[in-house]
Amino acid sequence: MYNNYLKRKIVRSLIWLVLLSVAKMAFAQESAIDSTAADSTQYLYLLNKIQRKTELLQATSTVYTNQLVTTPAPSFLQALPGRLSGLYTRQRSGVQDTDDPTSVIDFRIRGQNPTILIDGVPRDFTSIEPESIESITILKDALSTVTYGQRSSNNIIFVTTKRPVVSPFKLSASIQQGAERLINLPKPVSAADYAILYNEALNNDGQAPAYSATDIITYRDGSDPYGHPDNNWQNLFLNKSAPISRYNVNMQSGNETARFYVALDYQNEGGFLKTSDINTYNTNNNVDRYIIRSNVSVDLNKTLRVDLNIFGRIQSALEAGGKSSTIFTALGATPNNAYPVFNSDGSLAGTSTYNRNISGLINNSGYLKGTSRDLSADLSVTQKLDALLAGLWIKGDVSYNNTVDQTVDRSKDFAVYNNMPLGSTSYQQIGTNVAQRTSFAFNARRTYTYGKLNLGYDKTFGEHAIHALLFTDRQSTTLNLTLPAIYTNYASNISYNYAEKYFAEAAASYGGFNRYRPGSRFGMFYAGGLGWNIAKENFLANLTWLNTLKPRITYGRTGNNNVGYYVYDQYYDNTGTSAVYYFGGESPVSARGYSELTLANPNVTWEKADKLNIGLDIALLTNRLSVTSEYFNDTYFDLMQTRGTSSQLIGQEFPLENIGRNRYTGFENSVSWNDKVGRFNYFIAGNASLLNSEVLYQDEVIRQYGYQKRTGLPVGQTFGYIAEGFYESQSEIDNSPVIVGKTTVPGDLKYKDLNDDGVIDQFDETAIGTQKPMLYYGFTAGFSVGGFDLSFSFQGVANRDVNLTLSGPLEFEFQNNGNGQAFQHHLNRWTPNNTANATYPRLSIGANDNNQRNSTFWMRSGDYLRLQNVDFGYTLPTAFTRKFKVSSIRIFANGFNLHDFSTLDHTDPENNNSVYPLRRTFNAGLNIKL
Amino acid sequence: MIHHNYLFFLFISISLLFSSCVKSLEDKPLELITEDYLWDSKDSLGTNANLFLNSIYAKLPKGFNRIGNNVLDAASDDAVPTEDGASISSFTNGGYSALSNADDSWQNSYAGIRMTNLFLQNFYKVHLKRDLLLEGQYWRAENRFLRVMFYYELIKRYGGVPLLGDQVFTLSDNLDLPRNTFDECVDYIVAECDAIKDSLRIDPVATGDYGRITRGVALTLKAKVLLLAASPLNNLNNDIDKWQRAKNAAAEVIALNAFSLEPAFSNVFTTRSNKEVILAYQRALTTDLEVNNAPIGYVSGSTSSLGRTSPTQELVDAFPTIRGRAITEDVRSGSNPTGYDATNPYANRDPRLDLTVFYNGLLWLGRGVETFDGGKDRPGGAAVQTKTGYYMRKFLGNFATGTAYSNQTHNFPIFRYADVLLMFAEAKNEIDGPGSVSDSVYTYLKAIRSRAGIMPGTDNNYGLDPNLSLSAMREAIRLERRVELAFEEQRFWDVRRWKIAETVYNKPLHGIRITNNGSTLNYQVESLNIPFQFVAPRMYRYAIPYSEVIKNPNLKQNEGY
Repeated sequence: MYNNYLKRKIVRSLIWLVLLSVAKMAFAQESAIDSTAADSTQYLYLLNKIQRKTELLQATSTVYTNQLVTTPAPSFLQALPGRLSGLYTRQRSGVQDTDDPTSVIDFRIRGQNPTILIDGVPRDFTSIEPESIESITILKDALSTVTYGQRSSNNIIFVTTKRPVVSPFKLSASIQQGAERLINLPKPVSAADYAILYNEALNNDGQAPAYSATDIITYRDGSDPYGHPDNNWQNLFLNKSAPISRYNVNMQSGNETARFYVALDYQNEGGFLKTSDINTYNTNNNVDRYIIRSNVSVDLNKTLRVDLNIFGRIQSALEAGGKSSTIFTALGATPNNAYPVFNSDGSLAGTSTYNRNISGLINNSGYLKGTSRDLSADLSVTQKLDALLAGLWIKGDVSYNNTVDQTVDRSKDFAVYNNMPLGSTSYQQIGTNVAQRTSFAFNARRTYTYGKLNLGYDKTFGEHAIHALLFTDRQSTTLNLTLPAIYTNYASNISYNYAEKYFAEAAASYGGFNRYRPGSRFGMFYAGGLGWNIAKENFLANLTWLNTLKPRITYGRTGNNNVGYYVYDQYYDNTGTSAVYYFGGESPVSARGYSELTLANPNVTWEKADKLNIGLDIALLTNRLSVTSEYFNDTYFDLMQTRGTSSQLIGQEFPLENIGRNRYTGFENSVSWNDKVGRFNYFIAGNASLLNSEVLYQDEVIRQYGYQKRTGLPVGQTFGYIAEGFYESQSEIDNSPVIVGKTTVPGDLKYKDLNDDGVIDQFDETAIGTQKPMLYYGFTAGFSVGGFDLSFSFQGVANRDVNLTLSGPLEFEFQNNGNGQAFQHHLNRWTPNNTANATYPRLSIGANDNNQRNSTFWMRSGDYLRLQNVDFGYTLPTAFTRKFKVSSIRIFANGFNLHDFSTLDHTDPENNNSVYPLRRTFNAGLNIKL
Repeated sequence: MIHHNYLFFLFISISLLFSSCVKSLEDKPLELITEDYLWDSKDSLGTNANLFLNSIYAKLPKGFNRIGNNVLDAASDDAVPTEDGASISSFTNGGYSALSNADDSWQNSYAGIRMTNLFLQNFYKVHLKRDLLLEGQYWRAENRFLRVMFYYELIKRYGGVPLLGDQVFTLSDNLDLPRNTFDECVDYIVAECDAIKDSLRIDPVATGDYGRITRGVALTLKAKVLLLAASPLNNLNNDIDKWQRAKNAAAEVIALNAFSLEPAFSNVFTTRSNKEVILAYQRALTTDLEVNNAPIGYVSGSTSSLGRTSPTQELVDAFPTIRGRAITEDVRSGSNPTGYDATNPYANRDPRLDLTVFYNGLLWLGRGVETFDGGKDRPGGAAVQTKTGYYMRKFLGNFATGTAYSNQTHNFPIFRYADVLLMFAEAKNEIDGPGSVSDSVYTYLKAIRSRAGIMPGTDNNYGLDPNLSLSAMREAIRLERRVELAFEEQRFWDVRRWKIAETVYNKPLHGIRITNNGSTLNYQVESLNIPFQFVAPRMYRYAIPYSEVIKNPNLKQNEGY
């Protein structure tokens, strides 16, 4: 209803404007209008304005198109690791097709989870064609984000798509084809080793062995494939590689009157599953992505300009009816001897324990086809008001975004058959064969509408330059059935500089969000900055090698709306039709109930942050060497958490309240050098950032022992036991403190009794893992000479810990009550014969309450260095290509996730708890420019 | 011209922006229920308020297999849990502490108290129609009863606890409340019961209201609380006054003449509306009790029974013979054919044994129970099976014949009349001694035994010795409580309030090992290799949850934790 209203308004206004412009054109005078699309080497796109780089006071970091097109991955976020100073990334899963950016990659700026804005508007999609991205800038400090109102604390990744510029007609077409491989897959043990380990685990738990010696021999020699199968599921069901291909065409042209940039893109990413050909339809994973983009800019007359950006994307994702997550989980968790894939009569094999035959999940489960459609339309109209006041302008922006995500379910279900007794003709059926269904589900529907009105003033008086901006904006986000979330801002930004030597800037925003109590919805946020380019001073004028020496400082207060769904009122819940009690003497008459839900927090308000940033920009040797350093000190307060003194006497669950205080501090440094020697152009760039965090206050309960306190430690510190090795003998167990109420046997982890009370319990838990600041860094270099060009980038992290208990069944043996898999790293477990070199505790069946707790034993160093991207290309000589009326032809090859260096032997350093392994891609293609 | 441009443009942009400010959607979600809806003054039937009261009823003690699928008495000397590693074993294997308590009811009780205070605070807003005003008075009184019922559950476990009064706490209130003393809590509960007893329904109630709190219920709670206060655990000086008050309270219930002993013992638990049950936790018709507790060899339809509780030999031996005498005294011989025979131990016993415990040979679903070694209900090997040779029979429906279970009434008896009679007898005995065989102590004991089916004997004393001393009568009453109220969550608390836990525990429990030699069965009592610890004096009170103690500096933990 609301959205239709706005849609009608937009359409109506568009019609008005078109009529207006037509009318204007009839009377307009042709005159030169300077293109307001900025030259990217001089200017930077910031949140509300375009700023000259020399006037920059904010802490930012930027990459451009050329660094984004070299990564053959669907999302532009995957091109960023290691390239931006201050951006921490972790590839957390190799999952395909989902467009939730945080499920594929975990990214943080200064410890916060940033918002992604594309052309100034927050949008959900990150899987877009990199050729159309002009630049990605991350905004890290208060001054750069404060005008975003109640979403300014979390920092911003600001993506700008290609602006239409005055240019002759250019067309660029690229075709590329790549092969992806899965890397760092789990390494299962063979069926014989599994049987040996399983027997040992049973023995450790005081039970009789399950496999006889002949069983183990039969597994080894493979003489009974139906009764003693030994299946390596990865070899059986995963192809070595999956294809990825992309076709892109983009063109641009323009003159002073009108300019456009148009792009078309198609990407296809295949899957790794080995499917059989019993179906007429495909059940391997497959994602198709179609994009159309049109950015148009028209100068209606000397002073009026209209920009219209339209973007449409359709993604269609296919997966087997058994669901990719189930299939990949089964590949990792099913023991090699669970079942032969097919029985001797060709039916799907299985047992009552293992009844999800992987071949059945892939081939006999039908398919699911998910489609998502995104539409995005931005319209902005800029009017120069020089006639009123020189330098004054006014601009209105409107944006409409809509995403619809739906799934067609054509899955079916299968039964498995257990040949009992083996070799006979009788089979026990487990499960049922369900015919293929056709159903439709609406997964999500999202609408974002955005409107903004700006008034700006840019003027230079001799040496003084002033840029002032005053604006108001409003964004409304509607997700499925919830009421729209509406953000409103009234903000202004003023910057001043004198001779590009002295800089001052101030910004303020009065931002509101409609899910707070009426009357307390708006808050004031502000920031200011100062800078001084010492290199421009007269006393340094003769140091020609010094181009820029600019210390700068910014400080501000930002906000973050982290509030639930109208939590300021108390709600109650009735139990619907289900009974809570019964009355009645003859037969029970059901009585329904009412209950109070979680307590309301009537005073809920936004979280805040006070951020200080001190930066230094140095450019030397005619800007060939540039160094940027930032120091930041951010204090976050009024953070939403449950209070520590949440006494049960109140009789209800406590809500989140604005209580916590954290501090994040750190350094970010980046160095880059680019130069040319003759025709050899090269560049080297590196960045290194240090991030430190501290919990200042969290209403912690009274801890009996100091080593248990969370306050004062880094945010998210892991707590657990200190492991002191393995128990070597029963007498050692009898003389040591153990976990009370559990039986401990030799080979179990021995924990330290920190409070000397003779038992191991929660009072012996303390902070484990590193408390040092995390260091993340990247290194990029490249050169071009004689048509050849090469670039590569590394990314790495140091002082990071990985907690192996989070990997669950990929780390621990025989999980799921003994039905789980065992892996190669279990071969070096503790046994009475292998005590000194054991790297794993004694085996047990199912969950082991003693060994599988958080402890220093499971904390491993997660430091790694990854060769993230290499791109190599050759541009054919122009003399040759001119013969075909083509301006350039470039052949290229690139790769992604090429190699990693880490000390973890059985798990990927970045992705350690997802069933989807990460992918390595080798890609080659051709680019033709007309 | 230029001005036109600006004006047009400005007008359109501004109208665009602010047209979206026109209200077309509500400001807050109207589908979420707020308190104005719950306590609507126009709700003349009080429907929503009544539903809220129903939710408070649902917080009454549920009983049965409520602690990790085990009954509470599996932590007493009456039974052990059938499976290994049950959470309830932490009471007896040393795993019990302030950090881990399988029967913690601190949170649930205070949540219930909050709900009753919310009802109290807001119910006046609902304007009931004229002919429902009496009903409204009943609801208010029922609500106050439920509140003190929750306090009773708290003081039974923890001793004195913070009394909240009528206050509903908010986020800004100070929750650092100190504990009130045990006696203050008892006085509060008794005062509340007295205040509401005349505002409640009178027994017997209409069929549709069966299960609601009545006057008898309030007076029974008063009696139970006063008896708890008079018991040795809380009555360190053996103040006879306390026993007097307890006796008077029990007498008040008896004087109502509203309850009587159900003629058949099994009917008490399977008949929904009966004259003996004073308050029971009302449930739908189910088969969950049969499935949970019947011996493991029985399959009803496709559901196997789970036999979760293993009663001990100690409980079985407590049941007297059919003549009402202990099995050690009434031994079978030529002149005494109905005596106890160790080679056929379950014959000629108190009929309540058949209804409390599954023993070898008892008929169920068409066959005799087979708890001999290798029998269907004790096959040996790795299967989860009885640890003692017995399974729990109490509360189950009558499925001696038939092939499958069908839905039965299983309402957990919280208060019943037999309990009241025994409470009276216990209190009177402590004050005046047993008296003569025609005095009330003997009379009530005999009435219970008579109902149980014990033979009156030539002297009409149902096996009781007519000249019992005070302490011997005390033991007789304690024994009667044990066999009459088995598995009704009484033994666990009785053992603690009588302060005999340290002697009852801390010694091995026993089961029976039956070997089937084809034609004969050989019965051998064996010791169970299961820890059965009780650390006195601290375990007489539960530990207040550690997480609560660290949040409230005024909350003093119980001694020893």
